[in-house]
Amino acid sequence: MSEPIISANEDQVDQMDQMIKENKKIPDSVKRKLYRAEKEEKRKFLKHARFDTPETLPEEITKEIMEKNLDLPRKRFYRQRAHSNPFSDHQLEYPKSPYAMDWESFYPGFVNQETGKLNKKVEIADIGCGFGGLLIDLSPAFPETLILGMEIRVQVTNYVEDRIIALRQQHINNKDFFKKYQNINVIRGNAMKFLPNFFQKSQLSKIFFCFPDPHFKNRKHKARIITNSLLSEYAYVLKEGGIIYTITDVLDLHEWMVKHLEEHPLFERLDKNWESQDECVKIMLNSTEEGKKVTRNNGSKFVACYKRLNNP
Amino acid sequence: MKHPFQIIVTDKKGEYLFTSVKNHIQIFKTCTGELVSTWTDDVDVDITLKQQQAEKIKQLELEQQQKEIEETHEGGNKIPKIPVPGAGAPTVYNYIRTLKLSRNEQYLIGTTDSDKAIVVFSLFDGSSGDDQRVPPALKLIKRQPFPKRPCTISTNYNDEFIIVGDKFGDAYSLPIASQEIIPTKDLVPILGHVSMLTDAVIGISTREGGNQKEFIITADRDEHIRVTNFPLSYVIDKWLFDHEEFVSSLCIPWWKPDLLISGGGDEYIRSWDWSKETSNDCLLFRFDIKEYISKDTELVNVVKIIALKKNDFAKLCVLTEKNHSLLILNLEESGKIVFDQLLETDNSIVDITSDLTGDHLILSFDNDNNKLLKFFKINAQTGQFSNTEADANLQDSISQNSICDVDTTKAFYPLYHISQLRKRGEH
Repeated sequence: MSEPIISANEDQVDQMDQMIKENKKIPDSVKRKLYRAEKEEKRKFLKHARFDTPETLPEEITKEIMEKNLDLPRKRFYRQRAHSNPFSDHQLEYPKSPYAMDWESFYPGFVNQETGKLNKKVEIADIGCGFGGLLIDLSPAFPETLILGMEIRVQVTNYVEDRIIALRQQHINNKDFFKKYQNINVIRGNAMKFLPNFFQKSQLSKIFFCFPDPHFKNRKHKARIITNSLLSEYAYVLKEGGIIYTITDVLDLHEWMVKHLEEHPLFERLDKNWESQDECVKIMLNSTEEGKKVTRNNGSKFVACYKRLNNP
Repeated sequence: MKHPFQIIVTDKKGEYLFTSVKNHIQIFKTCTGELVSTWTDDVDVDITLKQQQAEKIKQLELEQQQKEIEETHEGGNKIPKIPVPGAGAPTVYNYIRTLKLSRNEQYLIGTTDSDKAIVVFSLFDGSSGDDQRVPPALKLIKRQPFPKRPCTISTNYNDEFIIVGDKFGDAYSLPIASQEIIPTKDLVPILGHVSMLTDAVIGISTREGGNQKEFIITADRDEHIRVTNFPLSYVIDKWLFDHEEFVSSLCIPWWKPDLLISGGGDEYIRSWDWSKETSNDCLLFRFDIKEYISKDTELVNVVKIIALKKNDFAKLCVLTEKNHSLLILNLEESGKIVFDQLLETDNSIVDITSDLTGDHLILSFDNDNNKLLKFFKINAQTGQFSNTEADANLQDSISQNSICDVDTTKAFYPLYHISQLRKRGEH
């Protein structure tokens, strides 16, 4: 491997050099591009890396890891508009079936050294995980459970990836590094279309929907993440007794989600008492970026949790 | 010149041929070629646009009234124009998109494009039930509009319900005999895909303790085939994964209810034991049809798969889009699929239909020479299909009896739409 590992597109570098020479202010868009390109390069190597077996990585990378910590990514370089059209044919990558999914590369810390396989399946999914706040707080709360975030926006997914890479790496010298942040990962995907491509029947025990896109307009309501027909899919991937968590700061959306969950024969609401004692509700209220923003603005947060009932 | 038949459907015995051309439905007697019944859809093509306009006017009037209440009246509002579709918007044709017979062959169900409705016809309304000599007559008993364009029709096992799938991925279930029209806003889907529905069939599984259990099997543009309980459609049984492009055609052979055949935009025709416990065990066989499609189309676009059986000859007929041949395959007991023969034709085939046994395998063609159909018959000894001299006259007479004339081939309605299902990735 002779090329520099962390390199932006050569043209872009030239462009920037030229600008520095001419004493010009570098526009944000160029900075953003360069930053992203640099992270992209790193990500290629580190995305699925096991940090406890550095010999599997290219030498230059290991050297860099050992010498200096990977910085946490800066969110401002990954901004992307908040909405995405779930009906469009994005060029998505998704497994042909849940059996074809290569989960080993997502959770290298949990791969059995002898068999080269994971001995457990993903059990918690955060649909529309955004910048990953919930994943990062769930990770220590469920250290032995594999947790996956799904996010449809490319840049936001990249951010979460880089954040997890950096967190894993920062804990490499920690005594219990082996499991730190090894149980979380993120994938770019359209959960509304392809959730069953990722998860088998009854695989999940918890699904989170935190501050989903409210899609205010009436005609956009089918784009909402909770609909009668999608709930049947969530019921399919959830174990009997599994839980759907929802939280939003939009009352109208909260009422919509409650209405549809109430209408669905396979879900039953968990009461306030249950909510007040559940660890995940606590985490969900305080950990996501959206949740923090709502707190800062003294907004309300509406929570509704539902249990997956047994099939008739 | 006669317009090609867009859809052809025959009954289990092959006695009648139900066809659609543009906005006409016609029924022909297959042994004489006689036209026995017709129906023409005279709904205005612009009906949906006009409805939009009416709604806008209503809304404006409401606003106006409110304004008047607030006493801030500033001149009258103009009556909005009928919305003009933008450049590149697909043309709305007044034609029949699907045509299906109920299992008991008492009803014919079609979908119309103009007003996004299904039309239900009672075929033997005037005659007493036993008198099968009376030819079917198209008596419209219901025209039910939908919020989105319906594109697939099926009836459940005992013909109690019509299952309608639409372009938006939703499926609805409606009682077949009821003449009540439900307002579109009150229609509640029984299931939904976040993708265009392309086909829906009803499957009966006898696996669990001899009890017959009904399932609805739906296919979409996202490679998915989904198996859902019916009528408890909120319980999804499984997905059948293996397709790598859109799925466009599903077929359950009438003699083997646990078997499902599927085809679409990739090169394989697949057979499934769809009622197995785990979805990963369901795929039985893949048959590569790439070498049998016409050279100039390159990509496989399966239009229709039908299954028929005569004695021990179990056959699949696979029609691919813009092809000058029909692929006949042998379907073995195990679900294995083997090449049988290629029926070469002079013109591109638009649609195919067959009775249960293959005594009437009928093809419809895209051409301007008024030879719109060809009849094939299976040989009970060899299992091979051939076209007979006697049939040639019949073919011509049905074509001649069709009431739909056009001046040039330019006036033909779209005959091919499967290839459009292929995805064009955005970003």
